[in-house]
Amino acid sequence: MKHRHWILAAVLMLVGAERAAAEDICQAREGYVIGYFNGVGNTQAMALAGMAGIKRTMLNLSMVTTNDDGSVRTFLDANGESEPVVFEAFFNTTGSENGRSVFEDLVEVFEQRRVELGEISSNRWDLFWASLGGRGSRSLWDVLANAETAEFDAFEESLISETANAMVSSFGHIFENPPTARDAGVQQTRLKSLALEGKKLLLIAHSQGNLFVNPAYDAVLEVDGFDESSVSVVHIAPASPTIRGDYSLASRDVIINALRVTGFFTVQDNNVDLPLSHLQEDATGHFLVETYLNMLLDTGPQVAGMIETAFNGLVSPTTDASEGFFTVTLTWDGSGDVDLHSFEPDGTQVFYSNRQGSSGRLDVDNTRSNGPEHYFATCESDDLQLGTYRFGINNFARAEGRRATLQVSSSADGVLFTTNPAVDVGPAQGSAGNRSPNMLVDVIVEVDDEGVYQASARPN
Amino acid sequence: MNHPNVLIVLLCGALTACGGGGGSGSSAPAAPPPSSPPPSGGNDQQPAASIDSLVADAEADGRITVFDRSDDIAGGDVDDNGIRDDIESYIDSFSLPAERAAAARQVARSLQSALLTDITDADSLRSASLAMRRAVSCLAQQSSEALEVNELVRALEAATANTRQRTDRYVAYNEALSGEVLRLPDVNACDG
Repeated sequence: MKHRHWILAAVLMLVGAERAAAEDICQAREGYVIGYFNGVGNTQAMALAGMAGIKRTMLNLSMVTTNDDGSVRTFLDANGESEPVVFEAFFNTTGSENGRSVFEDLVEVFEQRRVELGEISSNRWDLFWASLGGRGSRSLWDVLANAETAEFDAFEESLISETANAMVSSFGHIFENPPTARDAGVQQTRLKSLALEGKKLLLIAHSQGNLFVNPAYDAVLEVDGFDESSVSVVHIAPASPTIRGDYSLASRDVIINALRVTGFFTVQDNNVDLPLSHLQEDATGHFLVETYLNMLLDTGPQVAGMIETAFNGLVSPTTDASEGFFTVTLTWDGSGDVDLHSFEPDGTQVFYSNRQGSSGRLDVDNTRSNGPEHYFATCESDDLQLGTYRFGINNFARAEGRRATLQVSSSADGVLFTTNPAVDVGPAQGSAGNRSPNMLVDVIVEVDDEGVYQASARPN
Repeated sequence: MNHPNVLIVLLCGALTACGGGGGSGSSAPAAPPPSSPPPSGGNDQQPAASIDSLVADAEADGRITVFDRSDDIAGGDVDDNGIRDDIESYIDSFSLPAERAAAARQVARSLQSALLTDITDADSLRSASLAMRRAVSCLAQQSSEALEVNELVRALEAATANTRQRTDRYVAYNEALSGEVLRLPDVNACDG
């Protein structure tokens, strides 16, 4: 009898081993990506806090829910299924009219204005960040503002006015020098990858982010099989002359009203009222969390309603690329045929004439213009080789002068690496170049002691 | 492209309309009441205090934290935990619940890391960026109020980049990330 138990245990172990060998190690399939294009004068931290505010809005209004591990999903549908929802910031600081960043302009404005406060301001740059919204009930800014001295009031008025001037000027600069495919290579390549992999895209832009989201939206629609039913844009305080979806613009948005007065370009009509008293909380009437996501105002419910409508209206695209454990996407900025070449750890070369590798597949090949080309590594742990995968490009034909962007993403962590700036594709080499592509990036796949698979990327 | 003067007029009008105190009504982060009476305001008849004395009084009576304003980027960190000592005191002054305070410390650590990272090294930059994404995500998981998360992040950012040298470094860090796509990590966002 003991032997029988031992045999049974052995069989169960074998079954278990077989199941473990076939483990799906990808963390997200299909589903939604909420892309947030941040406002003017935002740091990474500010943009992330804003995006977290959007996520909180969607959670609080039961548009989405969370698993125990913190991941976000849609609620179960009638078939008992739900889909993952991830949030990604398409981060941009802002250029200005004199070639510097808007941050450098804002620093200069503060340096000039702070003298009004005297020597005590000489090294209190927390006041600078407070002027951009970084204040609180225990901040120096609020102590001084609450004291209502003529000295500080004059400083505040002049600083905020000139800060707004710098911001509005930056809008004009971006409008006159809109991001090109080359400038926005990282972000547009990411969107095209997501579209290829069957994601539904909700793009939410605030302030200057609207000047970036419009070309991004137009670019993602270039992907075969991906159309307007799978991507929506919600414009918040749009500092842009055109829009691609519904928008919210408050009557007392001081920044956009100032932009309107300059005549740099036409902006949308106001479509929601903001009480005058709210300017005590946000003197600009423009900030994302304080004003446009504020559910105590008319702005918050309006924006939330637009997000909910857009989110619920998205349908899955008919694109047929796969989201692998990791993926590599190639795009370029014009016509011609550029090829993606992959060398797997066992030496298998995956490219247009050998699309199936040992661990991955070139599932999208483009011979006309712009790309994308797309390689995915399998999600099956027993087929995924550990080791180094190498990726390069070859200008097969007609792409002289083009610049290419190669981007590595993983299902767990999003974008891991992008060639930035984009790379010159070099002279056309035809099939002769298949033997010696320009190698650009290595992807290393490892598994740790706990059996967790990880991918990392580094330039070649 | 000129800066139209009309902008200044328009903005001053807005500020005058709200009493010139844009931001004085800021509510979070869950600060305790001041330990001493507020400075004289507009309703009493006492002469207005000078800026210097307002700052000195506020620092002396603990209404605001006395921040490290030394010339070096790192500042003082006696316990070597990656958070400036003055900013730890600043976080303590908010009297946050334990898990939220831990998340705020994680944000502060990531901001400090952003100041100190070598932005010319792609791996270091990516690592610092990921640490900040995890930290903000963690804080957002610990607070159901978007406004509180936003104000805590911004307050810690202001405290961390509180000198010209630190501001310049922090601006350079952010410029280096411009154009990137940054996922907000949901799983295992909180340290420990």
